[in-house]
Amino acid sequence: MSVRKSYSPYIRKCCAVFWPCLSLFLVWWFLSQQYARDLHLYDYDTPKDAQWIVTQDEGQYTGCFRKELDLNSDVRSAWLGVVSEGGFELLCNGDPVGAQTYWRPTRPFQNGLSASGQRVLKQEPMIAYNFPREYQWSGHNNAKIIIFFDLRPYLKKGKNVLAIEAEARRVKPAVIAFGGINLKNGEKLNVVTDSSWKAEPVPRKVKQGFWTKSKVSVAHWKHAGVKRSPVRSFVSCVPPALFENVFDARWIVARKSDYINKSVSTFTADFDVLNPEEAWVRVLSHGNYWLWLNGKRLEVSRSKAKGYNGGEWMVSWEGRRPLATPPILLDPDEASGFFGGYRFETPRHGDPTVNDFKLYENTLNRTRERPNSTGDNLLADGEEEKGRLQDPYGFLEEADPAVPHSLLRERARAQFHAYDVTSLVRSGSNRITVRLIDDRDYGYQGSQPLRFAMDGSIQQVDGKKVQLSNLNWKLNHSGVVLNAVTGSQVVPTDLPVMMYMGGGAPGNSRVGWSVVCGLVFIGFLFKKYWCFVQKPLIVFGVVLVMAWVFQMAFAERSEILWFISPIWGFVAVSVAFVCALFSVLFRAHFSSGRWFSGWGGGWLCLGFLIVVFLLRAWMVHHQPIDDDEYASIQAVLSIAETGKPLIGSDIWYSRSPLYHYVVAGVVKVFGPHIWSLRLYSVILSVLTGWVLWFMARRYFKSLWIAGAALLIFALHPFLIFSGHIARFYQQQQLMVLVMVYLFIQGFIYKQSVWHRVGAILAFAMAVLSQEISISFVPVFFVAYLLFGRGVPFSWEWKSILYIAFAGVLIAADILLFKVKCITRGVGVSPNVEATLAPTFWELGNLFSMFVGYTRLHLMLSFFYVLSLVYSIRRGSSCGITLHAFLVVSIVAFNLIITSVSFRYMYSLIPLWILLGVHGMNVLGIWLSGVVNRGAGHLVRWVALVLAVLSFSPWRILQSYEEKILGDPISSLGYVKSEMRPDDKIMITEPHPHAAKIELGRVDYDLVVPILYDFTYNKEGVLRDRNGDAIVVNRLADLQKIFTEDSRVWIVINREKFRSRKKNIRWEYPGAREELFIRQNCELRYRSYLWSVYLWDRSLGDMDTFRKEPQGWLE
Amino acid sequence: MPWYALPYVNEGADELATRDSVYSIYFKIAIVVVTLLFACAYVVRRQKVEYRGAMLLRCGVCCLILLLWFPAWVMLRDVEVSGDGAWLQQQHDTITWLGGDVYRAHAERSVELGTGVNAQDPPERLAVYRPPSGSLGLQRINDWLWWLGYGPAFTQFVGKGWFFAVGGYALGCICLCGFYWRRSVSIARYIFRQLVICILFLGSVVGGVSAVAVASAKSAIANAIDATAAGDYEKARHDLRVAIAWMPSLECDSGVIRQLGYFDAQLEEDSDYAALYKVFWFEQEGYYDRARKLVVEIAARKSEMKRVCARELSRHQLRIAINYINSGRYTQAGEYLDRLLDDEKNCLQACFHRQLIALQTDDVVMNRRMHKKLDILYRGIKSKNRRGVQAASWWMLAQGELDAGNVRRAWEARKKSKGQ
Repeated sequence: MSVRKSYSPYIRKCCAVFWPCLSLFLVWWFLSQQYARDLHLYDYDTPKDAQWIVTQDEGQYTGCFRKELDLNSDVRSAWLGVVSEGGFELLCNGDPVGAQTYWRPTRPFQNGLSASGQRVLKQEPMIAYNFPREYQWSGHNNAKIIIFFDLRPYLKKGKNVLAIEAEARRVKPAVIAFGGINLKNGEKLNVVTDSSWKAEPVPRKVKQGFWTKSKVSVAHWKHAGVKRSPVRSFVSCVPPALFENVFDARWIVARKSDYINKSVSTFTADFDVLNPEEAWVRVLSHGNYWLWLNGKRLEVSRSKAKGYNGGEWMVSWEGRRPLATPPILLDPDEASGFFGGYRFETPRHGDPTVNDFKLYENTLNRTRERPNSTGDNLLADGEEEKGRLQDPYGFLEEADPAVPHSLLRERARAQFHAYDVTSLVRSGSNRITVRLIDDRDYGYQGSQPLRFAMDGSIQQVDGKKVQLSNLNWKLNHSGVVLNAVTGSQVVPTDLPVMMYMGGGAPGNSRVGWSVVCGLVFIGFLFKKYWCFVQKPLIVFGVVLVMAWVFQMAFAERSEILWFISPIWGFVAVSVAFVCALFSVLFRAHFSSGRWFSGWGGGWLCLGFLIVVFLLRAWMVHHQPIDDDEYASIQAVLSIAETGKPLIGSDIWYSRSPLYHYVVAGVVKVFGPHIWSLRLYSVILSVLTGWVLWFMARRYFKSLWIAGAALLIFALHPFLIFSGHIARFYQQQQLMVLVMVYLFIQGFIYKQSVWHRVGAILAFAMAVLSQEISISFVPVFFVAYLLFGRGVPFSWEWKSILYIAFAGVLIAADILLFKVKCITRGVGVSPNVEATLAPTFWELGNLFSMFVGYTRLHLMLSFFYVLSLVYSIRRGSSCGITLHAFLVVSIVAFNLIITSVSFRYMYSLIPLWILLGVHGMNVLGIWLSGVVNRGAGHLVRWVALVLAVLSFSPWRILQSYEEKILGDPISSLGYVKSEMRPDDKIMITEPHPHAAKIELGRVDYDLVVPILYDFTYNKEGVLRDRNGDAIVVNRLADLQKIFTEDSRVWIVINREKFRSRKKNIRWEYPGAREELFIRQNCELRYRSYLWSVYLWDRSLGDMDTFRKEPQGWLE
Repeated sequence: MPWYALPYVNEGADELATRDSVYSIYFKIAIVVVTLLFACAYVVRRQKVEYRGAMLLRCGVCCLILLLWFPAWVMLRDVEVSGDGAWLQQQHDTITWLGGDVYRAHAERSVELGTGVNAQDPPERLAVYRPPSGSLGLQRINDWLWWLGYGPAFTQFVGKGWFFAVGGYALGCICLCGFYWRRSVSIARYIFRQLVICILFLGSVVGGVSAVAVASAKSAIANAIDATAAGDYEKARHDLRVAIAWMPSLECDSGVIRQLGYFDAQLEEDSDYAALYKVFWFEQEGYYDRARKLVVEIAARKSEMKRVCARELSRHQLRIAINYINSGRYTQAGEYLDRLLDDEKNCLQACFHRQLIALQTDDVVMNRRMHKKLDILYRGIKSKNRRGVQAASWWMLAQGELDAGNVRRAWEARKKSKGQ
C-alpha cells in the first residue's frame, strides 16, 4: 500500500520560476545596496599634528586626559571629534558633553554611544535578555569610528578645560581627538591630542570628578605619551564640515496673526544644485516642526533622539519594553531634567554628605532653579549652589511651595538639529518645506514667536558648494504665496548643543522594484528558454541567500562596517557567480568527502581536538576569575584541604558535588593553581569535542559532518570562553552529550540495557555536575513517548532500579544543599535567583539558541532549519529524536528555570552545532540531486566557510591580550602591594571571596541594595556567606566605618554601581553611597571595570560627615 | 478553570477573585466545534479514513493551534482585560524593578524605620505592546511575540486552564505519535509528515491573520503620521482609529490616548481624550496645580468614561498621590489613594503606598487593611519577585504594630518579612 503522494511535478514547476526570480531579486538587492539604503559613511583623516595619546602608566586600564585652553574671546562655534580604542567620556569645564560607554561585545556595536544619531546601527538587538557568559572575543572595533561633539555651549571666554576619560580592556587605552574653535574675534584655534595634554590613569591627588574643572590645577600630572598607530583614517555617519561650519542663518518668523491658520506656518524654499555628492541641513527651532525635502519627510529612526522633529506625534515609542519604560519624576524640584546632571546632588530629601540637621531654604536660590539643568552654570564656573538640605523623611517639608511652578522651568527651549540629506537631494531643482507647529494655548501663551532658522551645505561632484543659509522662504496663505518674515541673524548664544539626528532615508526604489517585477514576469513567460541555466541559477541563488543570511548575522557587530561598503555587494554576487560557474565546469570532480577521508578521519579528529585544546588553553591564566568561578575555586580548595566544601563558618558550597570533588582531586595531584583548575575544564572540552565527533560519525555516517561539527565546536567563541573557566558548565555539557547518545542507543535503538543504564547514570552525573540538568526529565519523557518501543521486562526492571539509584543520589545532593548550604533566611530579596520552578516569562528567550547574542548563531541556524525539514521528511528517528531533544530541552529550560538566560542552555550548544552542520550536508545532498554532485559539495563547503566566518574568528586571536571580564585580580593585586597590616578591606558583592582568596582576608562586603540570598546572621551581625565579611548596605554603615577605621581600601566593581560616567545614576540604588565614596576617598587604581579607592583619615581634607557614631541620619 | 485570570479583590468577601476574558468562552466553544466537526467528518467518511489516529492527531493539532492563538485575541482585541492586565503588570514592575520601591527602600532607608518615604514615580506611559511602526522584520522577534499575545500582560496572568489545555493537547498528540511509532514506523512517518504539513498550514493561516492585522495597523499609523505632518488632523484621527480597529488594544496606549486627545483639541472638540491630553500637557509644562484641578474636575465623571480613559485618569491620580507623598502631604495623598482604591479593584501601587502612609500616620487599622489587600492581590501574580513586595508589606505591618504597642503581632509580622 502506498501512503505517499508525489507533489514533485508541482514543486519542480514552481522551482523553475522560483530560483531565477530569487536570483534576480538578490542580485538587484546586493548590487543596488538595498541593505544599506539609509546608511552613508564618510571618510575622515586626522590632521598631521593629532596623535594617539596614552598615559605613561603601564598597568591600568583607564586614562584621564586633560587639556587647558585659554580663550581670549567668546566662542562662535567649536567642535571635537574623538576616537577611542575602547570607551570614553568627553567633559568640558566639568560638564559631560558625550560618551561612548564601553560595553561587552555580546552587546550590539555602539550600544553605549550617547550621540545616538551617530550610531551606524539603527536596529535594536534581536536577543537581549539576561547577561550571557562572555564570548572569547575582542571588543567591537570602536577605533574605526569617529564621534563628533558640539562644544560651543560648553566653552566660555577665559580658562577652559577639555577632559577625556578613557577605558579599555587592554592597559593604556589610547585616544585621538581633533577639532576646532572659532572665536568671535575671528581667531581660529585647532584642538588636537598630543603630548601637551596631561594624562594620568586615575585623577592623581585630585578628587574624582574635580579634575575636569578649570579651577583645579593638575600641574603635578605627567604629560601624555604618544602612541604610534597606523590608524589615522576613520569613518562617520556625519557629513564633513557639518560640525565645523558656523551656523549662518536668520530667523524665519511666523506672524502671530498668521499662524492661527495652520497653513501659514508651512514654509517652502527652492534651490538648484548640480550633481550633489554630499548634503546636510541644520535646523534651529523653538517648538515642534516637520521637515520635508523634495516631498520626502525627514524621519528620524530613533525615537529617543526625535525631539522637536515630529514632536506632534506622540504614539512613537521610547523604551525597549512597553511595560518597563523609565518613570518620570513628578517632584516639582526634579521634573525639569531626565536622570542627568547634578540635580540629585542637592536632592529635595537630603544631601548625604552634608552634616547638617537643620532645614533651611537656600536664600541664593529662591526660584529653585537648577543651575545645571538650565545651562546657566555653563558660563559660570563657581561652586554649585546647594538647594534644600537635610530632611530625609520629608517630615519638615513645607506643604505649599511659594513660587509658582510655571516660573521654575524654561519655556520654548530651542533645539538645534542636524541631518544628513545626501540621499534626498537631487540634481536640478529641489524644494525644502518646513511646517511649524503651534502648541495649543491653554492659558499660558509663550512669549517666543513661532520661528525657525535653517542653514545647510551641498557639495557638488565638481567640488563647488551650495550654501542653504540665505534661502528665499515663502509661505502659502490661502493660495497666495507670500514672502516669509525674516528676523534677526541667529547669534551663537541662541544656539543650544547641536544634536546630529542621522540621515533621511530615500523612499523605496519604485523603479527598481518595477524593473525586478517586470523581469520576473518576462522570465515567467519565457521560462522554457532559460532551462539551460536553471541549474547554475539554483547554485547562484542558494549562495546569494547564504550571503544574505551571512550579512544579517553581522548586523549587531562592528564588522557591519565592511558590509556597508559597495564592494560587499559585488563580492557576494561574484562569489555566487563563480560557484555557479564552478558547478557547471566541475560537475562531479569535486568531492569533499574524499578530501576528508583522504586525510584520514582519525588524524583530522586529532588535529581539530588539538585546536580545541589550544584555543581554550592559550593564555588560560590571563583572564580574570569570574565571580561564580571564585565560588567554585573556594569550594574546590577547601575540599582539597579539608575534604569539605567549606566557604564560610560551617557553610558548605555543596552545589555540583561531582564537579567540585573531581577538581579537588586534580588540585590535590597537580597543586592549587589556576592552571590545574582551568585546564581540567579544557580537557573536558576536548572530550566533549570527541563525543561530538563520535556522535556525528555514528548517527550521520559522514566524516564531513563530523569534521565540520568539530571545527565549529572548536571555534565557537562562547564555547571557548566557558570551556576554560573553572566552573561546572563544561562537565555538564559533556555529561549531557554522553547522556543523549546513550539515551538514543538504549531507549530508541534498544541496543542494550547497559546503554539505558548508562544514560540514567550520565543523567545523574549531569545533575550532580549542575543541578539544573534535572530539567532534562521532561525531555526524556517526551522522547521516550515518541520513539521508545517495547523492551523485555528485565530491561524495564533494571532501568527502574537504576533510576531509583539515580534518584537517591540526586535527593541526597538536594538534601545536602538544603541542610549544609542554605542558611537561615534573614530577609527576602526582591531579586530572583535562578532555581527550578515553573516559569512562563520572556518567551523571546526561546529563540536565544537560534539567534545568540549579537546574532552569533543566525548563520548556522539557517542550516538547522534545513536539517529539521529533512529529518521530518525522511522520518528519521535519530534525526527527529535529536531535534526533539534540542527543541524540547530549550522549551523545558525556559519553563522550568526561573531566570531567563542563554547561558543555562550552554549544555545544548553541541547538539545545535551537530544539527546545523547536518543541515549543511542536507543542502549539499539536495543540490547534488537537483544540480550535480560537484555543486552539492561546493555549496556545502561554502556554507561551512560562511558559518565559521560568522563567528568572527579573527576576534578570538585578538581576545587573548584583552581582559574579557571585569578584572578584580589586578585591583586586589594593587591593594596587596600597597596595604598596611592594620588596613581594612571592603569589596562589592559578590566578591568578598575573591578578596579572601587574593588577600587572605576581607572585612566588609559592600552591597547596595542588600541581597539577602548572599548573607547570613552571625551573632546578630549580617555577614557575607562566602567571605564572612560584615555587610555594609547603607550610608550610615559607611559613615560609621570611616569614623572607626583610619584606612579602608574599597574595591568596587563599577558595573555594580552602574554609574560608568561622571553623572551618577540616581534612578538606581547605591547612588548616595557612590557619591559619598567619590567625594571622600581617593581613587588610586583602576583595572578593567574595577576601581580601588582608599579612605585615609590622615589626609584630613575630606568632606564633612558625622563624627559621632550612631548619631547620623541617612 | 480560567484561561486568563486577572486578579482583583472581592471587597465583599475580602478574597481573591479573578476576571477572565470573554474570548475564553469563544475559544472553548470553537474547540468544541472543531472537535465535533472532526467527529462528524469521521462518521460521514468512515470508510475513507485510513488512520483514525491521523484524524485524531489533526483534530488535536487544530485545537492546539487554536489554543496558541488565544493570547493574540485576548491581548489584541480584548481592550479592557488586556489594558487592565498591562497596567497591573506595570505596577508590579514599578514596585519591583531595580529602581523601584522595594529595591530603593532596601538601599536608601534604614532597617529601623521600615520602608522609607520615597515613593517611586510610575512610568508616564502604559501600553500593552509597542505600536507597530518602522521595520516589521525578523529583528523584531520580541515585538512579534507581544503582538501575538505573548507579552508579560498575558504570561503574568495566564490561567491554569489554558496551560493545562495546551499541555494536554500537546501531550495527547505526542502520545498518539508514539503509539503509531510503536505500531508501524512507516505509518508513523507518513502521519508525521501529514502532521507537519497540517501544522505548517494552520500555523501559516493563524500567523498570517495576525500578521495582516499588525501590518494593516502599521500602515494606518504611517498614514496617520503623514496626515498629522500635513496638518490634516481629521484624517489623522480617522487613520489612527483605523489602526485601532485592526489592533483594538492599541487604544490602551497612553501615547495613542494623548494623540487622540491632541486631535480632538486641535479640532476644538470636547472629549475625555482631549481632557486627558490637557492634563498631560499641563504636567509636561510644569503646571501641576492646573493639572490637579483638571484631574479633580474630570474625575467627577469617571464612571461615565470609557475604560481606557478611566484607567488613564487613574494613572494620573496615582501620580499626583505619589507626588503628595514625596512632598510629605500625607493627608492629600491618602485622599487620592482612597478614591483610587474605591475605583480600581486591583491597584497594587495604591495599596502599597496607602500602607506606607498608614505607617507614617500611625493608622494601624488601615495598615492592616492594606496589607491584607496586597496579600490577596499578590496571590494572583505569578512572578517570583512578588516575594519582595510581600516582605516589604509585612515589614510595614510589623513596624505599624510595634508603634501601636502590639509587640507579639509585630514580632509575627517581622518574622514573615524575613521569609521565616
